[in-house]
Amino acid sequence: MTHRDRFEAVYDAYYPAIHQYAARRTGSPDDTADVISETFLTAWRRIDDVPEGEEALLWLYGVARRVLANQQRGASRRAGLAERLRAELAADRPVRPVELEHVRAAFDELPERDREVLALACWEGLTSERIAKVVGCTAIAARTRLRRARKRLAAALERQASLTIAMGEA
Amino acid sequence: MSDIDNLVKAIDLAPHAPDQGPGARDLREAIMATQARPHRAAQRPPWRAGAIGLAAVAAGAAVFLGQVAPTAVPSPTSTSGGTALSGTSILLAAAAKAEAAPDGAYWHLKELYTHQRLWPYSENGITYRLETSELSERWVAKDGRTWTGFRELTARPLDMEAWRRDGSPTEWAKGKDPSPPFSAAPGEAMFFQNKKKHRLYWSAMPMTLKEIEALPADPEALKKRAIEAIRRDNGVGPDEDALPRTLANLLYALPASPQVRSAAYQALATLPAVRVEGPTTDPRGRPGIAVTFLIQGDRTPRIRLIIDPDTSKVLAVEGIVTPDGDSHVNVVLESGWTDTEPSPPSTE
Repeated sequence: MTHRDRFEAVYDAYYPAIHQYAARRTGSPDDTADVISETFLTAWRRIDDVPEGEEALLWLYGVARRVLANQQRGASRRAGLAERLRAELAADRPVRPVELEHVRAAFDELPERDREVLALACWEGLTSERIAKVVGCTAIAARTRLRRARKRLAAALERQASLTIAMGEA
Repeated sequence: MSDIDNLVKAIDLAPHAPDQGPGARDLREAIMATQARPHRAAQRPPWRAGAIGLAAVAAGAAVFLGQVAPTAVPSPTSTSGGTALSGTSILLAAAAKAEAAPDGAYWHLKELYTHQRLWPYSENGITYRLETSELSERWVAKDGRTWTGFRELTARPLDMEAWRRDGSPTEWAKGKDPSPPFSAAPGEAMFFQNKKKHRLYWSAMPMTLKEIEALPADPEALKKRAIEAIRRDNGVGPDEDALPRTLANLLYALPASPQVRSAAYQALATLPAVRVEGPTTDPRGRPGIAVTFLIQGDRTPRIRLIIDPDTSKVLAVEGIVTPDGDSHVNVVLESGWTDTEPSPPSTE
């Protein structure tokens, strides 16, 4: 298998997952397109480092995570690689109705560390072992972080609920 | 799964896996057309060896132009006939011609993007080159509304003998990609109005029409702004490597004023590695002058501009990218103001 075949296989297998990962964590279609293109550009340049099998997805999540954290989107944007994808994502589409706004608000107020593990567990559907590989910590640490994050979100939602009731009574 | 997990799941902003659309396929192709491994600084050509600032380069242009090392870049076409100084004068002549363009309600860019690529997926084990092309259009209204159009045009084999041995197919699957194959028949037109907040990009800088119009008309000031735009994101290569493409974008790809286009031509003329290859024709047979910029360090492909020095219009922009000779060319079919309403791309 040449490195071209390998990259095509990785891209085709994991494009939807990386697209989703980026879309969930970016505020604009431009940013989504940038994160996708920078992540796969990195994979192309380091194709020999991409692990085999399902581990490749965790590796890609790890790259996308760093791209988001460091705002490193220059190389692919500079080369104009994702112009068409960007235009496609920017197209006028019906906006999804916002439901469960109180959950979204409570989630957004959590510390970034909490949001990260909750999102990887609930949106990407990763186990704590896999979360550990993406964020670069031990499985035990990931499990602990996840447990604490759930607790904090539950507490935030309860606070919110009592506040709502208090305001309703006033 | 806990109740909390279910609540978090419910606020997932992208609950459905997207299909790989044309944009995703395009991205894959574009990424694979770049070098798989970046060149390191040690491989930079000699004219970049020291910490030579752009100002120094401009001031001593003649000296540095003599030191351009063509061996340091892939050179699929001969540059032996090129002379650097006439490159500068050609660009300065074009700068002088970049006069007031006709006005209109919409700024319109229409490009024909042609890609020559190896097609290795034949069931008969036969490999040959395919030429694929697509139309890409963009409109910008004075109030900031923007539209985008795409259409895949017909693909054709470049080696007829190998194509016949392959059984003369009229469709070519894109590898394991489940999306529609390249076809000898044109694809459907895609056309849509972009969201209100959609920005035009100058390198990494999102800009409004007003901001593009307000760019400086002084070449040195414009170069500084170009570097700022490039630096908006931390790239891997030297910022100067992106200058030729970034400045060239102002000539045809963005609604810059005639004064700014003129300044962009003048700024290009000061770049250390500009060379004129001489008279040529673009892929549509239109006569022009080919100008190249040697670039090294970033994955930026080598650029060849074909310009019409009489009108200062850019006719085509070629990039020669990969070791196996994949190449692409953007033919600029329209670039300027018009009163014609935006509409889906036709087959031509």
